[in-house]
Amino acid sequence: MSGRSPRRGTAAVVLVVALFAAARAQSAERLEVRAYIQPDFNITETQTFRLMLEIKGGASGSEVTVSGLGQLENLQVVSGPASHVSMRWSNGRQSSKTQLAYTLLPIAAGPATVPALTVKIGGRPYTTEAIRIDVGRSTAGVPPRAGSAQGSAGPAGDGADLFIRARLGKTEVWVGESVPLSVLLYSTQSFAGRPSLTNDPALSSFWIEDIEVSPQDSFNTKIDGRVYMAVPQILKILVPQTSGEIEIEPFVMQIPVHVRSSGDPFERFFSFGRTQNVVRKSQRLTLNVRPLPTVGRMDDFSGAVGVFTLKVGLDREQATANEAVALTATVEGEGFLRAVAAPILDPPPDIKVFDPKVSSSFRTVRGKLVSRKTWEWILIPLAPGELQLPPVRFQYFDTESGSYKLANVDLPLLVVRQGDAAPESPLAGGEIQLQHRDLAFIKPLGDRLQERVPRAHQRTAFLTALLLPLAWAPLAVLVGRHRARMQRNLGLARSRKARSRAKQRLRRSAKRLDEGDSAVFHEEVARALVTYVADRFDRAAAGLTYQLADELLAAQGLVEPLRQRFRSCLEACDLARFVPSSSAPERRSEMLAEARELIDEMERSW
Amino acid sequence: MVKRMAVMLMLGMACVSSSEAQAPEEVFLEGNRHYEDGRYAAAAAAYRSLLRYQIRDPVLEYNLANTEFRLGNLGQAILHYERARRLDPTDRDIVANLEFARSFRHDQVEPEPQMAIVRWVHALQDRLGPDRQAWGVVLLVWLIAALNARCFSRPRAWSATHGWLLGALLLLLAVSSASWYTTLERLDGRRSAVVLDQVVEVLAGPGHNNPALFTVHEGLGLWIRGERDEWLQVSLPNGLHGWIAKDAVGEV
Repeated sequence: MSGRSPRRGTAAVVLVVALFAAARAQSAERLEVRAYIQPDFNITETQTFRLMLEIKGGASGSEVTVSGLGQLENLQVVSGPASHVSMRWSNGRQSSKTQLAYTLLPIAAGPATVPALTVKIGGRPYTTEAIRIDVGRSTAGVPPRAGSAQGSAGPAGDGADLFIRARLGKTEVWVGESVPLSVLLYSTQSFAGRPSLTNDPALSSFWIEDIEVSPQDSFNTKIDGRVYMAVPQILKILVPQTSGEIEIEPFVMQIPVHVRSSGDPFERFFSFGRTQNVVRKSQRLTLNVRPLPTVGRMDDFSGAVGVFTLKVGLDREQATANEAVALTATVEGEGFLRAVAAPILDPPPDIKVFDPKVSSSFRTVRGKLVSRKTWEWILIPLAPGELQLPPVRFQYFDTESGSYKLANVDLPLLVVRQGDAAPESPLAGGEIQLQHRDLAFIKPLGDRLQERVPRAHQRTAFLTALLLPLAWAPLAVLVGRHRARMQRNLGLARSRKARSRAKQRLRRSAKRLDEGDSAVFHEEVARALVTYVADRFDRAAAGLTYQLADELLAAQGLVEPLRQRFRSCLEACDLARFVPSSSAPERRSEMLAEARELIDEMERSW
Repeated sequence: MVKRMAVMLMLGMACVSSSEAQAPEEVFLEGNRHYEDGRYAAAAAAYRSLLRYQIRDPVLEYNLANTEFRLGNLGQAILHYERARRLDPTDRDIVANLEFARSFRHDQVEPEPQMAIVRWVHALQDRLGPDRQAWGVVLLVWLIAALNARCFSRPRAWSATHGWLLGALLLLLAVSSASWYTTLERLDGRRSAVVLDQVVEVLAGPGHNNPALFTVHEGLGLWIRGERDEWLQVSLPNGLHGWIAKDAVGEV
């Protein structure tokens, strides 16, 4: 209806009334314009009524514009205007009357107002008086008025004896409990077409399932002594999702009916087959929704509200390892199951469970919703043995007792034999899977908090370490050149190593200091001294006699006392070698110290 | 050390209720205790008091990021995870938590596509971190220098083995240096920021009179390309760019 309502506000209706030419003489006659409603009493929120605009007086082909209908309070225009012009001759004078009829429907019970309307006729405005109406609350299921019981007139004076009624299966339910909502059309006459719903009441607090209705579901019923045919128009299953008092707006329907004629045979002849649309509105409904109690509710409450039974079963009781076994659980009963969670399985770890296949259906039985929902799991037993599956649990809220109930059904023993098939999935065998992701925990204090720490390359130590090897290069080159020179001049090299080699020999002698063999010790000391001189002068030690050594030392400019000590030391060594008893241990130590001192002093003398 | 004493002094002055100056470590441990007891706001206050005194520790940034995440401040959490990662890119917990927090962002910007080998190299570079790579370069320089010194100091000591070894070391040095440089570039080379407001419009220019180009949400990372007055010129990995108010983002 709202989709095809007439223009509001400055709704303009252009009506050209072609009066007879003779009426032109009366065009200057004073016009009377008035508005009234029909009927003007006992108007309820579910009834339509007519707003009549009557224009008395000549209106020769003038435009008639009506404005102000947009300011209707608590009323809506259903249809109109329908116009009717009548003319009368009396005492040689002609008079005319034009009527515009609008069909209005109250929005709710309470005060309603048709504001003062402005009617422009031929550009000249006329104003009607405002009409105030008290809209009564409709009593559900009661035919509109006694007057209509006579079959002469409908509630809006449209001649149709019919009304619609909305009905809830219950007026008080629990959250989640299903309740049927039906809208029936009651009539004593047949319709000229299919009634249509013209509004769409908001049902946002409900989960809704629409049930298809059939004209075959019609039935006869007697109301106030009259027999009506009740034709179901709408059937919905409402499942409230919130608690509290929920109001359901009225349903408005447009029904095509045959026009009723009076007893006049002439009129009956001309009105045969004519139809008209009549509008009917149901009463407002209220549903009290109670919240589900928290006492007794388990964590795995399925969400089902109603009266249910649970059946479970395995498709076989013997299987081989890694072979699929179907486990079926069926919940059935009065209530809504579409949004209900699956029954709870607690499969042992040696069974792999796949997500269930779900199917559901519902039907209405004597106005109640009967649902059935089935879950089918595929189980894969992974190891041979006798498996006792735990019971399948399904908790629901029982609306009959007003408490939670737990359906617990045991499963038969499943005997699993060793099979040849390979395991189907690497997930089997108790692989640990991540169930929940979260942040890694905060860290404890390590040593101490760091202030702004520069990167490694910004530190002095890093730069030093990086550049230090550059200093090696010239050093390495110098060492290399020195070594090369040494290799080129072997005599010089031998001379420079003379002292270290002599000292090395003396160290070896020192190790033999405490040994009993004095000859070996002294021989070693004497060789150290002679070898020192041989190295110093790049001579072969084998052919170097004491005399030659002394001459070499003298030629080098070594002072006589030092040469004397050198010779004495060598002679003492010779003596000790050939007369071992002449050398006591204390004497050997002195000999070693003397040899070291000699080498040092000779070295300093070069 | 002088700076550390100054921090302690300031912390002590800030601590009205206590007559004793608290060491930064004590404040940190206090923050940890608050966190473990679920008092996240108090934990965040303790951690932030340390940040005010220029303490830049990856563990501190990480713990503060965890706390901000628990408080529901996704943008702040991602900002501090980014800062922690910049300070210590080798810490796997930081990287994991950063990825976890990023999964809660409203904006899921596709990063630039990278070859698998590049991703692998980046992962390896992050595991090593720039400092380890820097010291690795130093070690290689020392090895090369030692090898050269040995050869220079011993005439006729050069051999083919030395040549191959030196060539390999030089190649390794070149690769390591390049890796170190690119790691530094990735971490420090580009200024970046994280969106802190829940919804921010990125404008065509630095001023509210410019039209909005697109909208970004809390936690999104942005590259900073330039700035003017109170505005930053930013870009996204997918190429979008524009201007955003400075106070709507936090610079990493």
